[in-house]
Amino acid sequence: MAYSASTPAGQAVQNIINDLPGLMAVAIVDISSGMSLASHSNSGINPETAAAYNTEVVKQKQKAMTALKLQGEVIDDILITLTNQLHLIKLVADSKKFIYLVVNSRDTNLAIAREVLRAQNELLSA
Amino acid sequence: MGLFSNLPFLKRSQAEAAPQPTAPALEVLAAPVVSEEVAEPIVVAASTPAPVIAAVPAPSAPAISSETRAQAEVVVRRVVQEIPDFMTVAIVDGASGRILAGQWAGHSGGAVEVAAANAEIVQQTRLAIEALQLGPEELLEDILITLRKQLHLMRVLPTQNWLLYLAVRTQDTNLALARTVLRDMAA
Repeated sequence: MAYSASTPAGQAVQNIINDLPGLMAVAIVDISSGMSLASHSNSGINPETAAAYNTEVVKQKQKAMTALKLQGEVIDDILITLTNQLHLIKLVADSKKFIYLVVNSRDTNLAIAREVLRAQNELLSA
Repeated sequence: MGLFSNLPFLKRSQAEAAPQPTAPALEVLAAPVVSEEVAEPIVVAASTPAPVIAAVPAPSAPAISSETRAQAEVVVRRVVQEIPDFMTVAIVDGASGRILAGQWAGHSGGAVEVAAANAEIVQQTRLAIEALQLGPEELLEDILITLRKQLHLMRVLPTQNWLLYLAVRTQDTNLALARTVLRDMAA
């Protein structure tokens, strides 16, 4: 249990676990530092390990969008599909944090995962 | 990489490229793209100065052969055929981040930077997967970036370590279709 339910990030992790009890790993990550504010794992995956790399992925994409001069566009999420797993990086509305979620693609489809993460937006951008 | 070495992709693209001389294959780059944003000409990767790529040291990168470009061009053309409403289709060399072939509908500013950034995204994702020690059975299928009105989809074509990059508007092309087309290109 790498979270405290008394913080918004910890609460969000708790809510996500409640909605997706079969999840493999989840973390709320601060984009500026690449460190996780709260995390939980039901598998061998350590979500904090991936946090730093994923932060870099988000930053690269933001850089690419600046290069494209995309106006009025923001990243909603980044999905990494593996053979049996979905890794979803969902940016929080303030673009300072993201939720990193790993699920087994047999248990949870993209639509469900997105919906669950979207529900935490308000809590995390407060 | 060894896991992918038996994929027939390389052989097939060579077979398709072989009967065509180089000139018609490259002509596609100069042809106008059917789009409402056709006002601007398409910028061909070859005419863009390579040193702009910040993430990759340009001097060490070997020259790209015309045969490689023609092969990449064949793949780009196949994707364009399947998804005529595309915004960007490009093949990026995974190692150097350079564009091998591509077509842009509308403005193409920043295409080189985007290509390099995309190669970096794939690289970082691979590092993350490695760091997580998921085991040899978990392979990277594709990477999807969802924007408000656009989908950016990337898939590695493993035989050549090429990155196939597709950007579409969500109003024109759905995710399932984009994925299917890219999966076919990698198969």
